[in-house]
Amino acid sequence: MASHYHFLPALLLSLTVQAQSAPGAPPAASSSWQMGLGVGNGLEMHGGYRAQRWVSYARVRGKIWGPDAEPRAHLFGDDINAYSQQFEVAAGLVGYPLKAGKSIVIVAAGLAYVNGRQLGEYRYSLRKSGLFTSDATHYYAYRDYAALGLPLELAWQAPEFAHSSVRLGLTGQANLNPQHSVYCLLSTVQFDLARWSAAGR
Amino acid sequence: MPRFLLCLLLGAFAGCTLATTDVEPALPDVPVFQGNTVEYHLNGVPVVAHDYGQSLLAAIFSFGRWAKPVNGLLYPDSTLQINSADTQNYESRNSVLHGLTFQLAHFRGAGRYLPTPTATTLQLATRDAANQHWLPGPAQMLPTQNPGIIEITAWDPNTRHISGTFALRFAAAGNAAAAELQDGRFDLTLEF
Repeated sequence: MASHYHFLPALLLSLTVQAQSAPGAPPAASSSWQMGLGVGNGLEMHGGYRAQRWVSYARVRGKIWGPDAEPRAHLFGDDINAYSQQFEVAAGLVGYPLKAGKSIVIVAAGLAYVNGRQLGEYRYSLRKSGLFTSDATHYYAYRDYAALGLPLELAWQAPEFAHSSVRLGLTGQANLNPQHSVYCLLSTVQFDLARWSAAGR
Repeated sequence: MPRFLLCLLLGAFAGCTLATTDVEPALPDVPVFQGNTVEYHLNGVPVVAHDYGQSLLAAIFSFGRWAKPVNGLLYPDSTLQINSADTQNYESRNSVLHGLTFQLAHFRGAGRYLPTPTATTLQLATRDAANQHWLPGPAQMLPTQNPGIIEITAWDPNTRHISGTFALRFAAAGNAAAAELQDGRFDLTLEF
């Protein structure tokens, strides 16, 4: 049971040392085409190639959030006409897979094109009376933008799940850009395309 | 490692804005929720005033003393006056309340009218420091040159339903800057 967690102290001490000093471990990250999905305070999809010493992949991600200040949407009635949103339309990343036991930690960076809408000042509300409360829809000024940004990712992928190629994981993704930097924490599922299709046959 | 660093540097230097567009929310169709509505752009910023009715409980406890934020009156001497205040908005420390009153004389139905200079005012109110009360600003009057125009597009004497458009300009007064009201629209039922 506890053997799955042996990597944790090792990870804290030194990722690279652990990666090189585990000759007995099966090759967790053999060269392969990979694909995955992430769900959290955003929604992402990625796919790419993972070699022994590097990864290269593309991802698309969307995140939607409400206004920074009041009026926000409330439980009964209040509604926001628009949300701030940012879509990473195209992001290419290159990074390193660090093996930590049977799990993998990936750090990656690259270049991304983002498209977004940022809510600005509150303007007006349309209000409709109800029995006890009044329902309001709030309207904001907003800015539409397109920008180039720096995508970053720190992903942890658990050991392969039940002898399949599927890895569950957690990832922190960021897009640093001059308009609005976005940070996401997502739970991911990732699989090996070749082994996935082989299993299907 | 060099490839990784190269991408990092590339991303950092290429982080730039390609295009931005600032968008104001559009004015809604009149009438809003079938209630009395006056709306316009004040120096390009949308202002919407409409009657939103009241909740049932508020109706019971107001005992008929409820003042409609948008109302219009047609006097026996054919003077038409329309009052509006955008009281349905969310109130915060930096809220602004827009009170607009415009009046025209010799009302005869659909057509174009000049606003009456003595009774057409714009008055903005801001919140006090404690965010408890409205502080009314100075009443702004029409300028002597190009005060603007009011156009009545529909008038039904039976239902007293009136609608039209307007464009008005107000002179600066006190600490209130000159204001230009464009794309004005109104749709309401006149009171007796």
